[in-house]
Amino acid sequence: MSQFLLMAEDDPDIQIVARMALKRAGFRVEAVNNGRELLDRVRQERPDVILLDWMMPELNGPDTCAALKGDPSTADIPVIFMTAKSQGFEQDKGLASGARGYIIKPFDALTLGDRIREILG
Amino acid sequence: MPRSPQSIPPRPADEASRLHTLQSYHILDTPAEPVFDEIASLAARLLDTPMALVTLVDEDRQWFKANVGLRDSQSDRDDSFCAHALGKPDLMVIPDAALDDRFRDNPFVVADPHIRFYAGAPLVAPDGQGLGALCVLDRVPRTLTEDQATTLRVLGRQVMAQLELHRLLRHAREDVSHMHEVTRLKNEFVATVSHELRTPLTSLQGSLQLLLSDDEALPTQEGRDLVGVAVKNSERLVRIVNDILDIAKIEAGQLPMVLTRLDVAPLLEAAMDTVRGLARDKQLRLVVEAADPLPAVLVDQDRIVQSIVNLLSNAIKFSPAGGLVTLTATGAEDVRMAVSDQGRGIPADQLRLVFDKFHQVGGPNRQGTGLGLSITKAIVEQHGGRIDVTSVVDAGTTFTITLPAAPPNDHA
Repeated sequence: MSQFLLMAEDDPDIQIVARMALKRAGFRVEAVNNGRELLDRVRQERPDVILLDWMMPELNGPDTCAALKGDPSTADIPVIFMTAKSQGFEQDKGLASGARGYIIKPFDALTLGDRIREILG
Repeated sequence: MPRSPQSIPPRPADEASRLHTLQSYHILDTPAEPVFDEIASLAARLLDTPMALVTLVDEDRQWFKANVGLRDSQSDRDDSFCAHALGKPDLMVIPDAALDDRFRDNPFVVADPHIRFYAGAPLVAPDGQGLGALCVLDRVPRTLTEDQATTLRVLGRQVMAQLELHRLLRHAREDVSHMHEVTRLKNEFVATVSHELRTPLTSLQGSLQLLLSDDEALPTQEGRDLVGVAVKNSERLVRIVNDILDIAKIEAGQLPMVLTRLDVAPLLEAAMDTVRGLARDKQLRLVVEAADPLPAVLVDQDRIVQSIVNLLSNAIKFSPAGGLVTLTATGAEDVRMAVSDQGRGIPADQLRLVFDKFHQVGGPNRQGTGLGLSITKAIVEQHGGRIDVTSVVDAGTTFTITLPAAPPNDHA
């Protein structure tokens, strides 16, 4: 059974690339456009891992992560940030808000799946 | 009690511009300052009077910057002696106020503190506007000796010099803070632009990487070569964006570092692993030699590895095919990590320029951003270390990073 990965990413091109890279790496991938849509989708089907962009319309990555971690039914789903926001990220609230790790854009499309499995441990 | 017309100090003709000049000193209602207090005390002592003031004549009041012997901190402008001195070319001396039509019914004369004698040196701004006066006051009629008059003039000029200094210092501070603001905006702009560049680069680089690794999608060698060129150059763009972002962080003093106590040898290995592919492409020999034992260092692992990788990449870039690149580490009190190549060397007159931003030895080349060494230098210096370079033309170059040894473990 392949793992179900749900991704929130507002850039449609990055959606295409990441979806293809992760499909090749053996994930079942679905992409939504922002945090709001992700929270809706999570309620319908529980993903094995969530990939979150940092800056998104409607509901941004950190707030989405906080909402997931604040809800007992979703708190234990691992969240990984995938962001172009590299500056000062270390001190940001990303990891503090309960995320498992982060991947800086641009990511390496050939090793993206491995990176995610590595973070999941 | 009605006041005689001559007792009201006349307003200068260009009062508006005089007030404008006064305001430019930002001195009104500021806290007392020793330098003005000391000049006033000195005036009182040298001229042997119980009272001395540094006054500034505002629109409707006179305000005392320094005050010896008087209770008030300001008074009505109409009651001010000094307002009469405004615009006077020299000292104004009132030997006996009770005998002077301008002052005989002044409240400071008819009541406490019962002033009889006044001598004031006008404070004149460089643009010619009168601001106020340094004055001495007494309760008995008297005169000034020639020496005392000279003393008052000199001290008055000293007060004016201090006011001027005050104003210049304030301007200088404003300039500096304006400069900081411009730098901050510039760095913010660079950070935003770098971020905006990353998003298209992500899909560009990812698409090309996936395409290149799919033999079905890219069946011809020519196609693979072309996409290979595109991948290599998109990776180069990413490196440039990262370097520019690093420089912006460094200039903003916001290069975050997480310091950990680490052994040196694994740092060297990590850096070597990163560049092995590059060295293989040029058929270079890579040799690493670490003395044993070596003291541990207190460093940000990623940043120090990045620094060593920068030096190794440069060494590889400038080495002839088949050459030797060595990375050595020695030390006791501190740790010296040296990267040597057998390249063409750097002429002496260019050596001190190699750490400058955007400087590229031998002119621009296609591979680098010209930022690597200045980033490396900043990282090393932020660790309390330093970087040095020695070079012999046609023989090779050695860059040495020196880092302080980590303090001994306190829980040992």
